[in-house]
Amino acid sequence: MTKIEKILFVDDEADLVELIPEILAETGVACIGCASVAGAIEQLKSHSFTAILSDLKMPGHGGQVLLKKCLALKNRPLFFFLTGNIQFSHNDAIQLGADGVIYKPINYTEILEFVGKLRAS
Amino acid sequence: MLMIKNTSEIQGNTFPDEFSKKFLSSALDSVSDFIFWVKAKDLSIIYLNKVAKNLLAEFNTNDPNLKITELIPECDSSSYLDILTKMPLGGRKEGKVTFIGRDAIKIPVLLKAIKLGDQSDFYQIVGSDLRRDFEADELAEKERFYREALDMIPGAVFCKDYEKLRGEFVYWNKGAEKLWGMTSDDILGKTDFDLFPEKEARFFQDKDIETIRSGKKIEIEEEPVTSPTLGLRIVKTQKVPILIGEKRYLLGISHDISEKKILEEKLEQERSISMQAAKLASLGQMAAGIAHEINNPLSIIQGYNIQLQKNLIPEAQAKLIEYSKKMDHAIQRISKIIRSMKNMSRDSINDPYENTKISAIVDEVCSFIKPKLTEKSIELKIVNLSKGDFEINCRQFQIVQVLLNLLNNAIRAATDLNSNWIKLVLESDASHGLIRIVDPGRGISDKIQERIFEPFFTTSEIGKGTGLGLSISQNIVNAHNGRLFYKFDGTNTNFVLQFPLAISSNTNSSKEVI
Repeated sequence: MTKIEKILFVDDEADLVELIPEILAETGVACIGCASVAGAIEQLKSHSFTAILSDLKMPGHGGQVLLKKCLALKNRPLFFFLTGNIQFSHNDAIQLGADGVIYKPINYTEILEFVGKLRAS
Repeated sequence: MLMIKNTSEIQGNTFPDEFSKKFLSSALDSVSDFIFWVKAKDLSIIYLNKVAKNLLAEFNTNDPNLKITELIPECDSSSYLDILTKMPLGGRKEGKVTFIGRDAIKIPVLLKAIKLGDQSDFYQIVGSDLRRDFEADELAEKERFYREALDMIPGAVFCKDYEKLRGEFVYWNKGAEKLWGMTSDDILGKTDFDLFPEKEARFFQDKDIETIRSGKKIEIEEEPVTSPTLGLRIVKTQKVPILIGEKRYLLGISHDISEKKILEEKLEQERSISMQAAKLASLGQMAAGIAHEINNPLSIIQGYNIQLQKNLIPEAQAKLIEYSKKMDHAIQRISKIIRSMKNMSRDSINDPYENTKISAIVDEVCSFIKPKLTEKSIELKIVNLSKGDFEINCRQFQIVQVLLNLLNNAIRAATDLNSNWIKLVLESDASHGLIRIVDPGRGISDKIQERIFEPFFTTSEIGKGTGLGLSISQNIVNAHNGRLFYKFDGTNTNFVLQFPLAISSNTNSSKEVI
């Protein structure tokens, strides 16, 4: 059974919002990119996602605001933080209620592996 | 003016000729004592000198019947006159009496009388005004008072006599004794060359002579002096010439500013250390944010590079060009960030002043501040960036530094208030451009307002703020002929930067054509 993974990618970096969905699309993963938490919340209203990949710190609302919204959903997607802050550990992410953390600069192999894992689960 | 009523009454026909008369008259007028000639027979006054006339101006001194007794209240004079009248020829007598002078002033006088003449006996009475002695006493008292007062002064007060150009010390107060470790007696009559190393003495005397020649007070901000007891000291000295007729004095006062100097140097040193520390602290904070900020462009380069590799087929040329452009852009961003980091640690004191667009400054500031905004999840709203843009003549990097400081403060205020916005507003009129930094704070209390621009004043907890930001910023802005001030807009805290608009070097600017 081939399930189409849907991923929501949230980052205030416009180029990344364009690039990541493009790269993932080539591996057969549907990915929607959002440049702000407000836009991501809009997306959550109309789509359901397997996973959310969100930047931790963004101008205005940060990733934690999105996580809170996400935790309140019935079928909550997996939630991963993206951050360049190495002080923010995997445990920190878990404690906040997320499922893990991916560090910047983005290692694309890691992203693809991550998606592969999503598929397998 | 000799008042001789009847020459024959004095010395018969032996009275001096006209020349002798004039000579005698001027001689008697120039003495400071009263001189009367009085007839022995009835004590009427036949001559009185100028001093006596002045003294007795109330009386009609031309009245030939004016008697000396009228000038003296009976109380203490009758007995004296009694004796006087019985005095033999050539006899001498003296005693104290009180004259009633001008304006009914009682004048204590010491009278000395000599009985002269043979046929028409008369007395020459010489009176010394005893008030002069009181004056001398008073003067001595005043001098004592001034000496005491001068001794109370913490500075070293001295006076040198330059009448013969040698500059001997004639006065030296307690402060001078303390500073130079020599008593007044040690130095009286000595010159600088007797007391100080030659080089110093030469300098002191050169300045003394300069002062006397100019006739004006001079100030020596700092001069080194070698004190036998205290060693090398730095003093600040004021010198005043005192010129009385031929006499030339140099009055000086020296204050030992050695301790103050050392303290000032220390403070200056500490200030520069703190400023450096403040710079480093903000640099450190920025660096952490900047390193973080480099991650995104790096991620972008890497991502497009992956895409490039996948698209290495001829048909993909358009896409390749696009990817390449994006990589270029990302690389430029990294370069800019790294350049800014270099700028941050650089000294901008010798930068030239250049006409610079505020929008360019704000752009640079944004690249610095963005990491922090992201970290604190605060949005910076920039109002009027293109419409309100203006040009100022500045050292760009210094203005960037000022804005960073104000924005950092605003971010701190927003964070403390759990708020998520700060604002930068551009405005300009015909002559000035304004940049307002607004934070969500509800204003600053009057008490704190007074002090915010003071160096080292901070409301942050120890270790968080140096308290130098606003004072340094204000110095920078002042150096640009601008103003930095606090303003409450009715709702929020505003810090306002006001700069004079740059005078365009291009006189045919498009504005004027329109």
